[in-house]
Amino acid sequence: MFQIMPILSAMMRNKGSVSLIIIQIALTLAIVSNATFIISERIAMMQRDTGLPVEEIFSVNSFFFDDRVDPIDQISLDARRLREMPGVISATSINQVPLSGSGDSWGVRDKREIEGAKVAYTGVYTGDHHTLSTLGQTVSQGRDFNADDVLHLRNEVQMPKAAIVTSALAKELFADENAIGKYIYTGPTDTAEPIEIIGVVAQMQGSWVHSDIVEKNVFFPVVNSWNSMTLVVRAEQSALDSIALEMEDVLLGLEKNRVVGEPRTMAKMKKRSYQRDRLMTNMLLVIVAVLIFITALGIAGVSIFNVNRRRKQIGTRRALGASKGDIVSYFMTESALIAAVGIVIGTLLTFTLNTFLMKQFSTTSLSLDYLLFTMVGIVLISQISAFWPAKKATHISPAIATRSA
Amino acid sequence: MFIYYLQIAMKSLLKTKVTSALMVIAIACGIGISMTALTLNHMTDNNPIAHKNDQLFSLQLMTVDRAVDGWYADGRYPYQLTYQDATNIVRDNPKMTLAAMYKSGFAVRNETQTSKPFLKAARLTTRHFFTMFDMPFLYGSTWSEKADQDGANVVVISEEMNIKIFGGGDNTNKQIYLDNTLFTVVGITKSWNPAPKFYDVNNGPFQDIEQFFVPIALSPIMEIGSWGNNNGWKDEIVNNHQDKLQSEVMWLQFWAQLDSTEEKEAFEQYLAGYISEQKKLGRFNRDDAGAKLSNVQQWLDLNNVVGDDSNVLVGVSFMFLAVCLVNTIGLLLAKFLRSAPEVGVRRALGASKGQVFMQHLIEVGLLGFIGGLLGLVMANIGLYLLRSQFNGFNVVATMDMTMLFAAPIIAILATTIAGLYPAWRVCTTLPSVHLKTQ
Repeated sequence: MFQIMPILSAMMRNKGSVSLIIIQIALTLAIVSNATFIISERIAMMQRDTGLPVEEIFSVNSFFFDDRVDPIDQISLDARRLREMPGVISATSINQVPLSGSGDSWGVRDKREIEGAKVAYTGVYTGDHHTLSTLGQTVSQGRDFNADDVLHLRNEVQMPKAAIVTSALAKELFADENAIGKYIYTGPTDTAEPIEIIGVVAQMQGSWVHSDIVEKNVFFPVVNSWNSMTLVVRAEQSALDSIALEMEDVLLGLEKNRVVGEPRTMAKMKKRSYQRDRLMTNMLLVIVAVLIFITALGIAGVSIFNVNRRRKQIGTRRALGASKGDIVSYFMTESALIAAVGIVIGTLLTFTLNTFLMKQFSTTSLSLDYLLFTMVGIVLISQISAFWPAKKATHISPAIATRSA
Repeated sequence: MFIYYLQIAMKSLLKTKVTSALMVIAIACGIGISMTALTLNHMTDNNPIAHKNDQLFSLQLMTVDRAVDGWYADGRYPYQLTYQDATNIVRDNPKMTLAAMYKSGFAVRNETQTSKPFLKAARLTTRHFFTMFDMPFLYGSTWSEKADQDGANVVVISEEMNIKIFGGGDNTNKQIYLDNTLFTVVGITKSWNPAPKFYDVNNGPFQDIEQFFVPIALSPIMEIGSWGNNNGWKDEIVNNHQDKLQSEVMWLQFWAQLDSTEEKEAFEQYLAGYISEQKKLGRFNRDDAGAKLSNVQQWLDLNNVVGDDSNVLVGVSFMFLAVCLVNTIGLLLAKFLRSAPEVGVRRALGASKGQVFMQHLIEVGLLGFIGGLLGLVMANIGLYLLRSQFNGFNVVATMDMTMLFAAPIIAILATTIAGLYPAWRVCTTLPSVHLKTQ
């Protein structure tokens, strides 16, 4: 069973190809464990709970170029008309769409005075009392906005009296205290008015999925008069496509002095926001898959070579009474030894590569599970790759020992 | 001799079809993947105006009085300028080639308003924009100095828009509606699509170039809002466009063409003077407040246009290529050593070490060439997949001539280096050893 000494001496006589396989295994270990770590981190990020009915929402932009049109009146008429359409659950105008990658962000604080206040940066959603239901949000504490809370601002300035915050924002500002009834402030000290928190939403992701403020969001019951306004529609998933298709005609039918943009589904916006992560995971997955394949081929190739070179030696051993099992285990042990050396060097290489990647990304260090899994995988692959040539070696006739070549 | 060696190499490769195929596949995979990653990196790393790299400078000003949540701490300058600074500097230097600019957009219709309006991005800038960035004109030219000072309803449109609105031809002096205002077309530019969009990387480095250009002096007159990033840090009240023009909100890009060192120094001196003048007015309150000029390449680097992911992918894919090559060396070694008896005979018959070495290296090079070509095909399939699966990769994910030539050369070089050791091993075998056993 344990023929380590003769194996080692055989290996030493064949340093070239053995060290090549060791290098290959070391590199493979370093690449695969780091790549799978990056892949799984990115996938985990993409699969985070958005807190949104992503598949039920789309948005469409309406750009008013005619000053005679009042955007606020028009957009509320639009939303009302959309809510009547079959399949539509809710519709309203919002300043930004979650997961879209663009929108508004402000700093809000827990005190009127800027000095000494705790400031939290947050995604700011302005819209009317249909906003939360359109985004599929329910208020977990406190209450939703009602029509009386909503300010319609036409070139005038006023801060809202009420706000609804996500629990992540509440926690940032007020730690574990109950946020309902507390006040937040924004703007210069001398003009900041208290805004009362009337509701808390359990969890909702905002516009910038790669930002650390993604879970921190605030809703203000304000509709501003802009020439470019965004309508958000939530509808039954089955009706989404047909509604999106009719959209432009419906809106132009209500007012033709505007440009209606392409409807964009939230699913598509989400996909686009994570585009570079998908690119990274896809490329790395391809690399890992091909790498494993190539390494397996390499190990098999060198094993075949070794078997061929040692035909005579194998025949002699067989003639001297070695069983077929002895021959197989000889080559498998050799392969395992090579893999072991490769893994030791590879572990050092893995951490070197990880340190470099941490510098590039400033992320967490490699979790050891990935290294261990890759190690086990490499041992398995090296054993499987060595098995077939070893099996072939058992077919070598003991009679070969008597021949000259 | 070379042709003859090539023939032997071909024969030798065909004799061991399986091993050869494995080696070619390994090289092709390595080249295919690393070329895909390298092309992405190379195209994003592109400097589309390299010939004016040392003449064009992007300006940054430290107008932010305090670090905001870590931003603007430790000497990191904001990427954009306030409207007041951008327009002040242009006004103070009427003789210089300067461009203050921002992105906006309009609903566009033809003069008779019969066409259905469409929404298009536009850039508000100064008349120098086109000469600074070498944007060629098909018809007409940029607007007048007076339009830069007082604003005028004039527009430069792109070739594409000229075709879309008018169906092509010289349409300067014709009019179109931007929103509800009539604009006169003064110039039509030739198709131009630099990637990355170096003059405004802040609003998406691979977004399409705007196709309408109007004088930035119209901004206060028509109250044309921004379609780009607006970064505020000060707790000030900005309720409308006029407030914003006076505010500390940063939302403009600024470029200067400085043709000589003297010119650059003079401009830097002016900027220092401008900052101290503004200090008296209560702005630029930081001790380290100043101005920073970056040339195009520095600007692209500063904005990290290539991105960390792209660099990591190149690194990992080249490590992958290394594994493929190590794999190839192993297979080559096995293959060459198997042919050692044959080499022994040739050596005994008078072939020199050098000839045997060359012969094997040529075989390796041939292998690299075939692998490289196949790798090129694989890389193009990879890039095709990128273009079809991801948005905004149309310009980026295509191979230019540099990359097209780089692939087979890298493949041949890499495999030849990989083949040095096996070729050396085989030519150092003693002829006598093999002759005996035959």
